[in-house]
Amino acid sequence: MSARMLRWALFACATLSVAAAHAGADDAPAPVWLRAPSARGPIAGTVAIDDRRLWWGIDGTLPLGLGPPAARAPLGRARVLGLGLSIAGDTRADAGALRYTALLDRRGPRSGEWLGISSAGSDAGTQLHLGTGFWSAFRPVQVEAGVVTSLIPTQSQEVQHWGFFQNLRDTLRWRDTTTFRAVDRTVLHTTAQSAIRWQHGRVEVSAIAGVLLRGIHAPQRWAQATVDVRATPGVLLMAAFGQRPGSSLAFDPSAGPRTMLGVRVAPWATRDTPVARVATRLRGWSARAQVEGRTVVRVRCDHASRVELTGDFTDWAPIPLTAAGGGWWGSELPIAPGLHQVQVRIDGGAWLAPPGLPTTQGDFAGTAGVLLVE
Amino acid sequence: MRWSAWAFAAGVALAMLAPLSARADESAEARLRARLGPELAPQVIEIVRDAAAQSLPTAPLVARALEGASRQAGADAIVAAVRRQASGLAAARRVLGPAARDAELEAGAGALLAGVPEDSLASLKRARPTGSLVIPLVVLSDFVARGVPAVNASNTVLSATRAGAPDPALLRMRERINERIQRGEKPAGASHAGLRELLATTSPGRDRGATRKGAR
Repeated sequence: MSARMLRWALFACATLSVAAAHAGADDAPAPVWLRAPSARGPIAGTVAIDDRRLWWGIDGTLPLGLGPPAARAPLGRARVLGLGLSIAGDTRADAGALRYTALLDRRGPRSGEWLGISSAGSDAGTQLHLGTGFWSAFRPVQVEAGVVTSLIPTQSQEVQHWGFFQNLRDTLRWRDTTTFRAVDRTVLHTTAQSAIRWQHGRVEVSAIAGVLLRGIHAPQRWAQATVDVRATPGVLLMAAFGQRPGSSLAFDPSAGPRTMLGVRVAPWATRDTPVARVATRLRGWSARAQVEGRTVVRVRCDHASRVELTGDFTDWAPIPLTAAGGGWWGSELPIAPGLHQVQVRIDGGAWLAPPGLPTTQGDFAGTAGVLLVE
Repeated sequence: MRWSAWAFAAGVALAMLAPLSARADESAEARLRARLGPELAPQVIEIVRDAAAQSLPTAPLVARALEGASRQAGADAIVAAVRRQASGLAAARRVLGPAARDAELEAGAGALLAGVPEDSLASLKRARPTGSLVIPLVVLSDFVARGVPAVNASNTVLSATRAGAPDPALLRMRERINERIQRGEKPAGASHAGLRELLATTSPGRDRGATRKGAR
């Protein structure tokens, strides 16, 4: 991709972001990687291909609760701490060149911070990266920034010119000599990077840019634009345009150094993955008792093509709701007086507690709303 | 003569209600058999019958089993969840007393299973001895589900109830605390701040009166 095309892509992305921010659409969850480790499910795998190689990454997640399960803060409502572990490599690298990453992630509903360490083998030795960063979500734009400090082993050739006088047949003659010596060094690279991401529905467009500082060398500026499309809750189709240095990839197993196409699969994505996206589309809830033990329930949600409701009063069978205009979906159901648990889902996503209702943690499917019919 | 007439009427009413209750039990058991399969259903039905023998509400147990079946949970997980629910209902009955309504028992079981200590439920019962505890218990469980530590959640609901806050005020407090948590405040701090707001706007005399009125 030429530099001109890349500039156009970045300009288009920034324009879309600003326009969407003024439009005030959905809430924006955190960026893909920095949403980790809580939001992608317990494990995810990425395979991508660029013009030189096929590369892959596997990352696992481990929530770090500090109290008994009941006392832990539910995801998306309070700050939670998690540990992300990943391994990445490519088809041209041997086992010694794999990249290992450990990352502590602390996130809240709209912002978060991370701190990580990463190592990768190379011909010259082991590269070590230390990184930290933060992200903040505005609607529907997310911004993030981070700094990665890298210790890069290099091998340079040291050249020495020297000479001596040699006595040849009572004549002193100057012998000019050059020696070459391989010297192992470690150089310090610092990569400062930032990104702006815009999400609409299943599509996320990002512009990532940064600068690489390498001692006496001139700073290297770089930029990349990415488009991610969530095909299903567990499958993300990815495309990236532009180049970025290896140090900027140290903490992102799903990113590539060059223009690439890839797919990311999270087969056991937890309910938390779609919750962050779908919960923001749930805008309202109402339940009104009618005659003869029937209750009209209504859910308001944006951009939905199918809305379903389940609860103990349906024996936990999903009941499709009917579109009633203005973003409202509803149905009239027989609900006996008493306490009931209820959940809704949009477009086959995760089951969620309706907005505004008190909640309770279920044994099988996360949080349910508590409905009192009198 | 008059007493015997009352006794006769009561007997007739019981005789009429008993088949209805039995029919409801049969219906629940039929639903369980249809959804759980021949191996799992008898285990769950046994738990449900035990609960019925203790005069505990059985609908939450049936609902829990059917939820497990809908979520395609394993048999062991379903039985464990139903047992846990039954033990929660029994504990709620023990704490809230024999006069507690089914909805109160269900809400109490939810709170206990969420980690709220039995002492807190007993204190809540003392704070509102005659009024319904459904809303306070639902609010309490909601706080715990939103990450408020059980002790803080109990103290918040208990203090509000002792101050005479009626159910609508408790629900408003829940909404405000939820908003604070969603804004990123720590759940424990949010619950404390929400309680302070409620107490600042609650007139003790008026609200105690309202609670007594509601309890009548």
